Amino acid sequence: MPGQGLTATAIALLGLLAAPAAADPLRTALVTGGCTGCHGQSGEGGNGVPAIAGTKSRADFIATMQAFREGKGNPQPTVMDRIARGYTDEEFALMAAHFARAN
Amino acid sequence: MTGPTLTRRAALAGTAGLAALAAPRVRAQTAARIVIVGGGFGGASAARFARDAFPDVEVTLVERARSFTTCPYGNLVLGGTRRIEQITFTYDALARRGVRVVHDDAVAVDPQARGVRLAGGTTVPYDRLIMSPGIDLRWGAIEGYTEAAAERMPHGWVPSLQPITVLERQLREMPDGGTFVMAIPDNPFRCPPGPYERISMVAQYFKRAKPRSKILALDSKGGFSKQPLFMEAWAELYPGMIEWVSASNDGKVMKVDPQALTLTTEFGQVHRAAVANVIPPQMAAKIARDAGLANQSGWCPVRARSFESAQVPGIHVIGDASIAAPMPKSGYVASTHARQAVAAAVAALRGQEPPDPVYFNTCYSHVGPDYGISIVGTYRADGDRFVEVPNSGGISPRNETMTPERRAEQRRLEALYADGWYESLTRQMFGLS
Repeated sequence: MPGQGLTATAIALLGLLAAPAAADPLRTALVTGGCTGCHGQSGEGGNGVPAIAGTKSRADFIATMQAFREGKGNPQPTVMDRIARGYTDEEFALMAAHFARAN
Repeated sequence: MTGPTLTRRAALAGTAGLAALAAPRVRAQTAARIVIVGGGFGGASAARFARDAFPDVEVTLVERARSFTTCPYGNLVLGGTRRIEQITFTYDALARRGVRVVHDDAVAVDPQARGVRLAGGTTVPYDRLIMSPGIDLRWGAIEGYTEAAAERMPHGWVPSLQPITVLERQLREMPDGGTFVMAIPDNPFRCPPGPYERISMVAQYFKRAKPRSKILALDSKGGFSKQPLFMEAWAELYPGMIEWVSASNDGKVMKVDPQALTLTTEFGQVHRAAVANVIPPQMAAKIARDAGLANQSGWCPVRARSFESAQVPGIHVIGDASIAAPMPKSGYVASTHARQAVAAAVAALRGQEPPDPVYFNTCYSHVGPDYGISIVGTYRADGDRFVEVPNSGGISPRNETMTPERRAEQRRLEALYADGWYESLTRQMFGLS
């Protein structure tokens, strides 16, 4: 982790983001831009759209996205099956690192 | 509902977190100047993202108007479920976030001197320019359809030229039993499902308030976005009210007479309207064409990884003005063009390659009360072409694939999600959350 030389705030933020060691925050922002359009700037949900921030562990977040993509799990997805089929496992991991609970 | 912990954490992760991490990488350089022309879905989203992701970049947004009324949800004003004030936003929150908002008319771009000349006489210098100019209507492409004609036969397609309330008023004043006639253009045009959502929302209004009235949709195309879903819904919700005429059935409007309120199609049929809505052919807005950004099609070719103009280096063209097929000309996808263009612009200033793009679109349409449908798509760059990710995206499930109970739930949820989509996207682009 690139902890050396960063301010305490930045270290705290890194912890919160909890991205994989190589994760580029810009790439995370570009990839999660597809999520926030509906789920809110911070993934907070609202207006009937479910919250995705802090609701699942990282592993569960990824598993949920994979289940949408493979058509397993939730038997009656509304839009997420069509959306998840456009994304890769690496991108699911970036989304999870950004939105999922810390543990 | 979110508790305070989540709110704080989410806010940090969503905005400040990214800013704090990105900051050290640009701090070593002098403040680069990114100028954005046009404050619609593309431009406002670009300003927001540039401000959040690159705190040491100077971000200027040039936009003529002090408020912006969205095209999305304009059809709901016709349907009577939204008021225009509810779909109108200002740039104040973006300014509070540190975007320098200049309310003036950008009249010319000088790519050599790298400046945008304003009607007020000043020039805004830039290191990298992002143009999100939107569209112009091709006056005269339909014979007789001039700016003056549009007062009698509103387009309701470019809110800065004509508020949707002009068409709304005509529909409200129309006697029951009249025919609402629409002229719909060939591709490419802004918001491919928009005309059909409009048909639906006018039908919703007629069903409630003017049940003997009819809708005649004259189309210059052979088919349209989400067609099977719209057709199924119309048959179910508005039986006998809507007639859609394809180009091959003489749907292409060639000529209008605003005094007589008639529309004449290719093979000479004359249709008389009680209210006429003419959506004419379109092209990239004038400032983009004047700057040499458009090709002979009237639209602006761009590079697939950066949205940099294929014709003028150093200028990125995003949103409806760009040629980005197979992506639709939609507000949502413009917001993803915007983020990629900003990232690519900053990368270019650092002498770097643009990051790998992933573009994403969701277009919801309201068809009736508790009845929404959607089309979604994910797109990437393949060399210098935009490509849709194979086997992804697509339209909502057809009626026949669901039980009646599931169908009702699917349509209800999509109407709900449409409202969430609108709230979230507009709050984000105008810096309200």
